[in-house]
Amino acid sequence: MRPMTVTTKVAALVAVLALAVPVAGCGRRAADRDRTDSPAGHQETTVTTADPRAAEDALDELDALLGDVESALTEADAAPADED
Amino acid sequence: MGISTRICLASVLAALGVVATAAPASAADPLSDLKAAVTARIDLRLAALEKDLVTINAAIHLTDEHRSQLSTVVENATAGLGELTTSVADRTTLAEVREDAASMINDFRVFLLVGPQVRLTVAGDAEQAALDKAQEAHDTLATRVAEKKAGGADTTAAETDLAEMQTAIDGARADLAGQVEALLAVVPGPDRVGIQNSVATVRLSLGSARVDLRTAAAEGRSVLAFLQG
Repeated sequence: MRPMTVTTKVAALVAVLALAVPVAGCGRRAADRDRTDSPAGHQETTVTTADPRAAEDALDELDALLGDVESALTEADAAPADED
Repeated sequence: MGISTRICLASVLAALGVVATAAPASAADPLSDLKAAVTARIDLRLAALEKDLVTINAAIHLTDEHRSQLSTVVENATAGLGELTTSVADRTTLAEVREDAASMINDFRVFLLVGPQVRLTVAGDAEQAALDKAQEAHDTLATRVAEKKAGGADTTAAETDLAEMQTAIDGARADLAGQVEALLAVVPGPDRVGIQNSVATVRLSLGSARVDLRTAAAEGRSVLAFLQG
């Protein structure tokens, strides 16, 4: 491969810089947008939606409790009356 | 001694094979045999009480008050039966040992009353915890359904399910009200049938509460499916 001349090297460097600056700018703009969209930036629009997760958790816990009830009643029914 | 106590005691002694008229000819010492048989029956009760204590300590939904009450019942019965064991050993006549055998049954009711008191109180307190959780789930679901409705969704079916869930919760609450307290208020005594009926009434109510709680859970699931749909 032929060695690059000084002119070629400078041209290559300029080309690289020309590409790098806009890319970096893009990054900054994206970062800025992220910051302003964040809750700290107070620009986020809050949309209230029905989030059923709390209810789902409560129903799951209810199922677990009903399992405990079932076990306790089964144990009560299985206990011997003996000769009392 | 009441008639039911006599009948009960007679059946126990018959089961033990120590009714005087039917005593085997080979029984050299009926008093020792009777003492041994009654002591064995006391030991069975002590073992049952020990298991009851394990159940009480392991029950995660028992209220502090009920745990304390049940522990006292079991500990008192254990102490009383321990004293009865000593009493039986010291007896010198068959009649005295028979009196101790009657006391073992009527004064403690380990199997007929104490065991059910422990296990049904555990079940009742678990049902109370489930009841509270069902109400919490209902209220959370109702809030979410109201949000959906405010957003313009048709929530008619979900509201019907919510109403049925609340009806089931109210039913369970009514089933459960005062049952454990009534059971814990029953004391040992010679009225076998009376004790049996008291226990059966509580068992029936707890069973109804369980059915209602299952219904409440199913209705809640329907509402949740609507919200997630």
